[in-house]
This record gives sequence, structure tokens and C-alpha cells, in this order.
Amino acid sequence: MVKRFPLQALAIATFIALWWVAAAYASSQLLPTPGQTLREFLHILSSSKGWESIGNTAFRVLAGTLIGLLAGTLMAITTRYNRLAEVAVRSVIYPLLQSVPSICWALMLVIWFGLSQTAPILVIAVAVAPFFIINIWEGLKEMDMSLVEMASTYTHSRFKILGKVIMPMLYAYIFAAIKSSFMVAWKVVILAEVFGAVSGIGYMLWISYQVYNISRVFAWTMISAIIIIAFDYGIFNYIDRRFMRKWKPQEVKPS
Amino acid sequence: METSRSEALVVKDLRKDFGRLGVLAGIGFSVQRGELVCILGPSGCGKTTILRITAGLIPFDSGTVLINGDDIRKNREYLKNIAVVFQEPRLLPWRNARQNVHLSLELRKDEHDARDMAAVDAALSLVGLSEFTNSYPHELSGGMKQRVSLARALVTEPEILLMDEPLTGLDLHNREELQEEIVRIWSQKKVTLMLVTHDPAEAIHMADRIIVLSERPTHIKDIIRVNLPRPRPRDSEEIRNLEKTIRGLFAEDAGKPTEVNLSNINSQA
Repeated sequence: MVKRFPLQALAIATFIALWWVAAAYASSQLLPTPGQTLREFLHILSSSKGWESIGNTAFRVLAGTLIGLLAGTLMAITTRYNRLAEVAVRSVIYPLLQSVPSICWALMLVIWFGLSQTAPILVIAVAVAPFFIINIWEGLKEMDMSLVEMASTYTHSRFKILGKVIMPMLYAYIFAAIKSSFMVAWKVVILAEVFGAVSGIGYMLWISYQVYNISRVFAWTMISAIIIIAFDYGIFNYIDRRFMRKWKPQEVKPS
Repeated sequence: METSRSEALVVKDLRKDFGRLGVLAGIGFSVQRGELVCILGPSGCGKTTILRITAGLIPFDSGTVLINGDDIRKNREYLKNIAVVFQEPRLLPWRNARQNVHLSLELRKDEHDARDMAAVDAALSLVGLSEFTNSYPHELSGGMKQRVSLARALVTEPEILLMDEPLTGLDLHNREELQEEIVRIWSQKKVTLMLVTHDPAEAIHMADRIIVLSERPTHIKDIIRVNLPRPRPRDSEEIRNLEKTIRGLFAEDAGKPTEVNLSNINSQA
């Protein structure tokens, strides 16, 4: 970890240097310099409108992921208990969610719900639900049934067994799904906001593009990337180290 | 009517097939309240099947199983009086020892109070794990894990404790130590105990009576009463005679020598 840090810094510095050189040769209409981008970046972060847009998008990501999580988890778990639900989810719902491109969902949802909060949130939910379905299926497949059997000698309540034994075995899988969902959610929401919202990062990108403010387009792109990286490296890695290892102790033990 | 009062478990003409494979061909025995009965048989003979049927985990084809006089097919409530210890400890890896023991109470009871935790700690101390209440399963040895699983069963205060080869995965030292402890806990708790094993020495050391099973399709070869005072020695004239009797019973089966059972003791001793 410690040794990797200077190398990473070097890689980033090289990237910025190359960017600088390219910008010096290209027209500033096509490629802004890192300095121009940074100025726009700071400008956005010093305005309340900027933070409001970030906040709007973040809210949609959270709400959409949460809906996708609940819907996906519910669908995946019902397939275990109900034959009809299994057929419906396996042969219709999952393939449909999986194969229809997000942009198509976005168009349809904007047609149905108009320019509101609903469309971008549902686009996210639809885009991330398959991650939860597939991961929970995997979790159910890998589940230690002997623990479920043990629990069944103490209670007849399927609900108690689900809550105390089955769900905890699925948490690691749900967490993995949340992690991949977040990346997708950020990418999808920005796209959906371009034509399906009147606020948020995607909308701001669209406005910047309309007025041909290329350094602002770059600055918003930078903000999106930083948020995604911060989540992935910062928050998720922390949760992973702090909590998830304990659930699968066999993974941390060196053999 | 008189007899059913003292009988915790009655099995009558129990039959079970797995597809075309006959597993149990008419098993009948009873276990008295407070008795320690070992079901002894060669590997794959269906002794675990008897225990799993009694625990309500698998159905059976014909026959009757009565617990406290109630037919288990008619009334599932009897399971409240039973606790099972499996061959593997089956602990939840994300819970420490204490939380694992508490699980059975969480599953069995609808209301909880502070007395539950006191009962959990008492059960852990009964199995000698007071020092390890906060340890997670991956931090415990095989024998300790099985002790946790025993505590998880005991904390529900079962009338009948069913144990399915609970010591099979352990080394000889741990096995003998746990045999003593299970006998001690059984006599202290006055619980009815039915323990399945493939090890004649284990059965002789622990049981009031040994139900000796044949190979498949399984029937009862003999029921042997072990009239030895406890604590029992590991070796004596009587023990050697009992072992010889059991070895003889196993050898009767289709003229086959007893491969697993007795060579097992020798190789592990």
C-alpha cells in the first residue's frame, strides 16, 4: 500500500502533463487545459447551484439504488419460495431488465413520467435491479443449507429462519451488488439527466454543452469521476475491510 | 398407558425407503425418560436416518414414532421438547460463541429478556467455554465448536437431546473428553439422550442401552444393556466382553468381517 502510493502519484502526474501538452497544441475550443478545467471546477464548487446539482444527482443515485435493491432482493428471494415467481423472474423479468439498454428505459420512462424526479430514479432502479437478482441467486446457490436445516430444528417460522440465518448469509452478496450498482447508477443517472431532468449533474453537462463551454463540460466530468472513485476506493473499501471480512472469515485466513 | 408415562420416545415398525433402496426395514425400540441410549451401526446403515426422522427433518414411509406419547406425524409441537446436535457443529460464522448459543432461543422464543443471556452464559459454562464466549467460530478448535453447538442445544432446556455422531470429526483425546462431559451433562440435566455412533467403544462407555443395527436394509440386531457403574473405565474385562459381543453381531452380517467399526477403534487408539 505504502509503496504503491508514489507510483500512483507519478501516473496521475504523467496523465496531467500529457493533457497539458495536448491542450497546448489543440484549440481551446476542443480541449481545455488542466488549469482552465480546474478553474471551472473550483467555480462550480464555490457556487450553491453546483452543490445543488451534485446533491440532486446523489439523491437520485441513492433513491434509485435503494429501490433497485429492494425490488431485486425481493424478486430473487421470492423465486426461492414460489414456483410462479421463479418462472416470471427467470424467464421474463430478469432477461428483460438485463437486455434492454438503459437509454431505452430512460426514453420510455421520460415519456411516461415526464421531466420529473421519477424518471431518472426509476432508470437507475431498473438498471441496477439485475445486479441484485443475479448476486442473490448466486448467494442462495452457495448457501450453506446445513445451517438452514439446523435452524429448522428450533423453529417452524420460515420468516425467522430467513431473517436470522438466510439473510445474513446473503449480506456479502448484497454488498457486492451495491458496489457494482453504484458505479452503474452514477453513469446511468447522468445520461438520464441529460434529457430527462431539469437539474443534476447530467443536466448541467447538457447546459454546458449547449453554450459550448468546453472547460465546464470537463469540470463536470471530473466531478463525476471523483465522486465515483471516492465511493469505490474510499467508502466501499472501508466497509469491505471493516465489516465484510468478518462474515466470511475463511477468506482472510492465509492458508 | 402406564408405560407411556415413562417412555420419552417410542418407535414402532419404522420403515423408510429412498427410492428403490430400502433403508429401514421395520425398526422398533423405546427410550425411557432420562435414559442414555446409543444407536450403534456400521457406516451407511441408516442410523442417522432414524435420528433425522425423530427430529422431524425427513418423512418416513410407515410405522409410528411417539414422543411423550404423541404421534409426531399428527402434532409438530413436539419439536419444542427436542434439540439436535449434528455431526458438524453448524455454527453461524458471523456470530460469536455466545450469539451462536443465543440463536436457538431467538428462533424458539417469541419474547426475550435478560434471563436469556444468563441462560446462555450458564450453558457455555456447563460445556466449559466460559472463557471463550466472545470468540468467533473460526477462532475455535473443532472440539470447542462442537461444545458451542451442544450449549446451543442445551440452552433450550430440551427434554430429549438427539446427537448425530457428534464426536466423529474429532481426535481421540477430544472425543474421550467430550464423551465424559456429555455423560456428566446428561446426568446433571436429567435429559433423555439418544446418541448415534459407529464406534462401539463410545457406545459402551456412554450408554445405558445400546441398540445395535445391521447393515442395509437396516433392522435391529440386538439391544444390549450396559450395566456398568459410572464413571466407567476405558478398559476392563466386561468392556472387552461387550466389545466381543458387538463384534460378533456385526460379523454375522452376510459373513462379512466387521470392516469399519472395530478396526476404527484400533487405528485411532
